Amino acid sequence: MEKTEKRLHFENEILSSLDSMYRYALHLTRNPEDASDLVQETCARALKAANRFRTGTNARAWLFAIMKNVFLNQRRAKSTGEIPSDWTEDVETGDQRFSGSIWPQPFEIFLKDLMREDIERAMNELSDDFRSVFVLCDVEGFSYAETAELLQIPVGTVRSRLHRARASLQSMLSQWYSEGLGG
Amino acid sequence: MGPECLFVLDNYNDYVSGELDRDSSARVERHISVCPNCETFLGRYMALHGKTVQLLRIPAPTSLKDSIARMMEKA
Repeated sequence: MEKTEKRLHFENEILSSLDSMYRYALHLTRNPEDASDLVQETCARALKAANRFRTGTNARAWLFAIMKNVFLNQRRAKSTGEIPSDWTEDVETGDQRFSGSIWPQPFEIFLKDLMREDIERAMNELSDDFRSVFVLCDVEGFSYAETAELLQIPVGTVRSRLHRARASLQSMLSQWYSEGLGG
Repeated sequence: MGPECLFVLDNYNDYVSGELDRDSSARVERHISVCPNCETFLGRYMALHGKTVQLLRIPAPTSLKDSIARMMEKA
């Protein structure tokens, strides 16, 4: 059966979101194999529900919402029903400022020496709450409002978690490098 | 540290996110053009943030992309 233009458009939306979906799946599962399985299951469900997708709406946000639900359902089925704190817990608000003096000097060398392994290690030190918001806003480029809708939390919480996540990452990376562990 | 430095400290995160309104963004940019301390601070913050994000933007494995493409062919 020949596919309609709308269907082809929808499939293209999925294909162009695959890198992004895989990264979010990696964040959720913390395991490359599980992440690939989660993306496949998400795509299968999205394709089945393609007729519910409205052209012109944010396909990536829709796919991420499906993925989050699939992940939560799988996790509930596997565990005792514990829901990750991302979607249940609030966090105290407050702007965590830090001084520029935390960055190792010379700064340019520190920046050049920074490796993906250091950043992944720092990401793993973040709580799920902070990591989710950092991944969605900064790595995947969702707005505060889109992230708030996806995680079902207030925009103010997205903002405060993001700011604290960034500060924590920069502090950890700087501290490890200064201690000779990150370089 | 003057009031405009404090304004930058209060708003740099939203500025980096692109979530600061146009007037406030212009105010941040005006200040960093005349304040070396804030310019250095924001420049380094954005450089480290940018590299962090860049290194985390890994692509999906080719095998996964192929598998999804096959799924679409069958659908």
